[in-house]
Amino acid sequence: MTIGLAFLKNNGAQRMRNYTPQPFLLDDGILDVEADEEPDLWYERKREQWNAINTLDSSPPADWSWRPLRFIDGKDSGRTVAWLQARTGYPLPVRLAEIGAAGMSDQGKQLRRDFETIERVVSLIVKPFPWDEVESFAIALQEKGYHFLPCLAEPSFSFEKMRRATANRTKEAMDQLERQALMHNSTIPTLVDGRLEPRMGAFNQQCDPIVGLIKTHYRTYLHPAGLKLLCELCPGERTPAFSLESKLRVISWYLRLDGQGEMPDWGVVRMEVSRGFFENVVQRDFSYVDYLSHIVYTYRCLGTSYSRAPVSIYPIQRVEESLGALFSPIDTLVQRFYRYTNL
Amino acid sequence: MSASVDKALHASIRACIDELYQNAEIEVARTSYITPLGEQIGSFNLVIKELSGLSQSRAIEYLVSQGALLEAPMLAGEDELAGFLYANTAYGCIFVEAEDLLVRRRFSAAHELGHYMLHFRPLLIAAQRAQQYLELTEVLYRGRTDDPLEMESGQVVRSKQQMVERELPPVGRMEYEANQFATELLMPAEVVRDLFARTMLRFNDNDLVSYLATEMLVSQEAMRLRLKNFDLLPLPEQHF
Repeated sequence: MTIGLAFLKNNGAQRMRNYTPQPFLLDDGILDVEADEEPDLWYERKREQWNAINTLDSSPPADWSWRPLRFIDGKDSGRTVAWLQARTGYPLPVRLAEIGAAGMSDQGKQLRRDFETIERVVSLIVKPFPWDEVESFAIALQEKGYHFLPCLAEPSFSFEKMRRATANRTKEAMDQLERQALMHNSTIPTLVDGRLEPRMGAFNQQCDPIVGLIKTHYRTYLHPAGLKLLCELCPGERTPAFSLESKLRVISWYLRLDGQGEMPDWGVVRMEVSRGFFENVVQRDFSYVDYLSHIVYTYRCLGTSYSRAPVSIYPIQRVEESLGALFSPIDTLVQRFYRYTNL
Repeated sequence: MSASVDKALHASIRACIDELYQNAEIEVARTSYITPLGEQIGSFNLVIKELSGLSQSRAIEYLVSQGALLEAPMLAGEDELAGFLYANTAYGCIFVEAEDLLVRRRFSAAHELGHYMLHFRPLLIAAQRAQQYLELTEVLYRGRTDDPLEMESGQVVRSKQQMVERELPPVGRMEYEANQFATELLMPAEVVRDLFARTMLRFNDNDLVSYLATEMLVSQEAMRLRLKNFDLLPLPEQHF
């Protein structure tokens, strides 16, 4: 029995060119990432008082103890490099990626990387294949330094759905690395790029000062008047805080970092902190939200060369760049994979 | 179960696993954490077959179609199975349910290999030496959970030679032994402890279990139980 990396070739795998993802063949709502969250919009202000709150004048005291001093980001640099057909006929993608996470801390006004971890991973939907062939493939990959991520999604004829499932699998692994980066030191005030829920288990939601900054909005939580307010926010202004209930209870608010974008909601980020921390430690003091918003606003990216500048803050951009420098160029990674697998 | 019985079982499982590695000519010191179960099964000339809707009758039907059996026995059951082992003095086949999760298919196959190595093979060798024909089957019922270690117990169906019955341990004991065998084969103590030592500081409980399970291609439930049995879970000083 010699299968190993020949598994792909044996199953008729073909190289796949890099491409722009196509619309889903089947409408399966795969992007339903925040669907379970139920907002309580009147957490800070009543409906009739839902106005913009200016944070530009809310400069925190110099010794304010909740100023974020650590910044965490993760990176998933990869693509679908091949596709193969299971004996049942399903076209299945093979995703190759380099994933990683890093943390930088503010040490005397200088950002220094205090944690980094990187892994090379291959993700594939395994259900249609004989277990012994997948096992042999996984062993051969491990021997070449790749982590094999079996994707447990049900196979389907919607290639986009399958592609998304393998991408989600590598993202899950990246989230795990981000949790590692957060756990490295979760007791100092930390700002993470993204939602807090995927970081659950890496911090104590009742007392750790962890803030999430969300740049991509998959779902809008606001009522029509709130959406109008969102579009009208000026730079440095925020919406009143609202509460979101899912696996993790958070309080959240929108903050405009930039007003020069080409889209009405471009330049707006959503921030969140765990409700346990906000109520137990901060004692529901909304000046915390103002101070934090003010700090994040002052950290905003001013450079125009960075494509996501309107929704980014400088420390996170630094973590991204620092992490990116540790990654291999994706083309090199892909070519090496093709050589190993003889594709 | 007494400690001395368990110690004897552990020694006998260890010996079988060493033999599997030797027979398959696999170096123990490899860079992968995944047990090459497929290679080990193949080295004993056992055939691996995955069937959808596995039942005793489906498996027997397959064996008849392959010429491994000349006729189907009358009493082949229709119960849903996770695994099925057929072995005679010249041929053997391990069946697993094709619709099960990959990690569970692997565990079912390792469980059946455990029956083969610990229970069937000594009898088959003895029968061969005595120039007798012997045929044995074992069924592993499909459990209600995805936890391979909680799978409902199996049942060994002895052949026409009732003498064999006396040579085998009670069914419950055999199932326990086969599960122990599968656990030790797929999650060797030294590999689990080594991986644990390398990674425990980086993870919380759930991430640690998930990471080790992925690295060793086993289910999270099986890995969690293994770590608990080694008193490695829960991790100390975590209050999340």
